[in-house]
Amino acid sequence: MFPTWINAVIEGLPLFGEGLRTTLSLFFQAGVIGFVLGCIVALGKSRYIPRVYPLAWFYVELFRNIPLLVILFFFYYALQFTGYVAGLLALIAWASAFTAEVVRAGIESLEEEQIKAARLLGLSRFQLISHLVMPQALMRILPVLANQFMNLAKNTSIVYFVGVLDVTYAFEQNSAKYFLFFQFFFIALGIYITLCLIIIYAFRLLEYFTKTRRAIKPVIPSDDQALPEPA
Amino acid sequence: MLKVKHLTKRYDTHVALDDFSAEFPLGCINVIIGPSGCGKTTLFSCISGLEPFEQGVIEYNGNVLIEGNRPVKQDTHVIGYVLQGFSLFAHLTVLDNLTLAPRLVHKLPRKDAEARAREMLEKMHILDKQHDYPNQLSGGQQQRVAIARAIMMNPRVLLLDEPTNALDPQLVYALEKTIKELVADGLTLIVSTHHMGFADRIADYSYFVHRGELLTASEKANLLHNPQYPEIQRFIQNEEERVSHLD
Repeated sequence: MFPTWINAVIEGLPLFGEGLRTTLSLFFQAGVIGFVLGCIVALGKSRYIPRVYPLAWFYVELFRNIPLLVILFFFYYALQFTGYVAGLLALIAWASAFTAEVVRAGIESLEEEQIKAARLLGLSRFQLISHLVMPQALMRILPVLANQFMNLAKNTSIVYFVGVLDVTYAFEQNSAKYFLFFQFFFIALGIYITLCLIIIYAFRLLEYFTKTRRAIKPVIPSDDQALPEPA
Repeated sequence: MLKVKHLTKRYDTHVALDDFSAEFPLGCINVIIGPSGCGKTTLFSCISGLEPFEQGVIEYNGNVLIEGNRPVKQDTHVIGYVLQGFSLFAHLTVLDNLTLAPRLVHKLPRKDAEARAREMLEKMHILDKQHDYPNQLSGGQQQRVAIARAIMMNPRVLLLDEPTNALDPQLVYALEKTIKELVADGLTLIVSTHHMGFADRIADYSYFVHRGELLTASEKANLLHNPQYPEIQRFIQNEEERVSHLD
């Protein structure tokens, strides 16, 4: 009833389903772990935990300056992990190194006066970090963080090189099996674009909910303030 | 009595406070007057324990609060300090700004902290702003929140650094009323300013600081009325010129 290529595409879809499951699993695991690790490394590079600066610096420079594929090969060939684990570790290392620098930018952007106010109120360093520094830093870097997560979603495709069945691998296998490159290319393209759009709009939503909290407007005297008349 | 004895503070080679000594009576409004850059903010930073200093002692009622060249450890929160820019926590509502430190530092239950914060906001006439974020408040309202936040920690002495900056005359009068109410409640205030009219209206005692040293002190703002020192005369002249230029 359908042209032959449509039947072939329908037959190839389950492989995409399996691939998508791996892609999503890599994305969420590397995203969460990479983000948390990135925040910790960012704090290590900030003035709040100065003792671990050299270690944090080394971590960031190591994984930021090596191509992602080389990190993957290191975990796969040198350390002999399975394809999935090697891919996951490489993505975590890459994502955390870049996230650390983004988060650090947010941390450094916090006004010195707020830190002083917190110290005057007697907050401990841990309370300062957990209640003031990190929440505000994260709110300020949401747009850049969205980019970071989008890059991560796309970079999950490197596991193709170590034989893990993800969306890219499913596309390659299907197009080779059915000799239908463009049809399967557009399916893979649609999956990646949809994933990225979901990430963009999820972050937009987060930005919307945190917008009112992000910046103190400059102190400008105005005459529209409902204040009691002087005695 | 809050005593500052032989306080010396340096930033590299620059001496911000040079053997500064003063005694501030409790339960009244002490006003520190001086031109910009004379060391008023540095003095407050040292008294509040925010900045370490090379030499000197801060005493409250005979008890040493901070000693120079020793690690600052001020657990008692005797001194409260409202910074010049108010420094509210931008991501927290007014109510959370007030309750954060009492909950975390004094381990006050949230319910009790909020009840006290509401009392404080009502006193400051901004109870209706309790759920607003700092960027939704005007300058005067931000200042009231900052004062209320400092008072939530039950200080005995409150330092206000240049509180009239960026306030229009109507708000300055409202601030004066607030300051007088705080003193009536038993708080001691030390206010720094270069606004002469403001100092004249609120001061119980005034102190003139010049280049990191206490030049002179007087009851009320008498030192401005009968200036004995050329530095004070010059300050008054500069301030009058500045105000006439603004007008």
